Amino acid sequence: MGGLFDRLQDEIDSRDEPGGLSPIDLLDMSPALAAVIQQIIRKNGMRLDQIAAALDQSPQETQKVLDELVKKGFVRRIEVKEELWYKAHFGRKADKTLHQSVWAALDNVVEDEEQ
Amino acid sequence: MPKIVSIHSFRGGTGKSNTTANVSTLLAAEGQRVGVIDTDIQSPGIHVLFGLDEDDMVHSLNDYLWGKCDIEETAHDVTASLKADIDGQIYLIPSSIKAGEIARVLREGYDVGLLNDGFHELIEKLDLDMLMIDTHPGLNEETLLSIAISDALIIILRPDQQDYQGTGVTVEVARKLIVPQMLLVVNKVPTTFDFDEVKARVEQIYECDVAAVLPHSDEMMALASAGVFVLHYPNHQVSSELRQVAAKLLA
Repeated sequence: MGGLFDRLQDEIDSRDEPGGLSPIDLLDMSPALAAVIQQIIRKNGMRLDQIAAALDQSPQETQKVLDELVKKGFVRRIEVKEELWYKAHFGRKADKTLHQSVWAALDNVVEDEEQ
Repeated sequence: MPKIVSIHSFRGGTGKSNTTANVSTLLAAEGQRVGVIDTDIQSPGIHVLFGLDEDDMVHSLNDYLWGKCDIEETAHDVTASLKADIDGQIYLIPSSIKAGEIARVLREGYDVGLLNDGFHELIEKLDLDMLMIDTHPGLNEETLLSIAISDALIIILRPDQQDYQGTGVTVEVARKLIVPQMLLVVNKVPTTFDFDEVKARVEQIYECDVAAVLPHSDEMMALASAGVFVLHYPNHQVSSELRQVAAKLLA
């Protein structure tokens, strides 16, 4: 799925959306939500009928869970070859907050490497 | 059907990268097309076992995560460098060993979704049978993602009280993430121990299949990551135990 331009577009689109999924969220989810999103992550995107079949659920049941995941900002609807797919929407891994002196020391290392 | 396998340990120094390199080589020897990805971005190292020099790293996983290249451009075919009769193929996706680039990932973070896309694109574009993910010890976002998407998880531990406790955490997480196949590998076991007893005890504690019990090996220590052990010592007990791990993944 996608090259560099698709990824850039994804990133621009996702900046307007709240939060996104962290893998840590997977540990706190209800079993119903976790089952659906784990399927989607494993396959890196699925259609409603595929998810429902994999979980042996009715499409209506799966749709209800998907709607909740979309509302929470954990899943996005995307169009692939005129079909509706569901894909996990991960948030950006947070940067680390370290003391400025640590970053300054690391900057020196980067400068040395670049020279 | 391609398989994603994560290799993890709760604590560092358990022999995770060594086990990953060896099992990957055994799988390739069975004709498999294997991708090995170093997601230990903070402390990468598996490239050493495959003899990949820093100067020969055209692109690394870091470049992909920063949008500088496609994921397949980070894959280095290391099959020939093993200088062995291998029917399959091994592609290594290294993490950068440059201090500045490690610092940049720590400082700026990255898009976890891109990592997941990368795993799947690698399988598709390199036509892989197996993708082996060498993870960072302990639990963090990339490790959890790797475990969540894996068809199999290999957890390495030593016969050590701290490892036993930490492994309990990983096993619990893996069960919560519904990993289809979980295998334990007990490594660096003193040769004075009763191996059958170690296996039975560990299986009882975690209610999980122990795929191998590897003895502490002076030969492994002496090799010092200068190569892949199973190629240097194919008849060693460590090699035959590792073959059992590869066989369980292929089963």
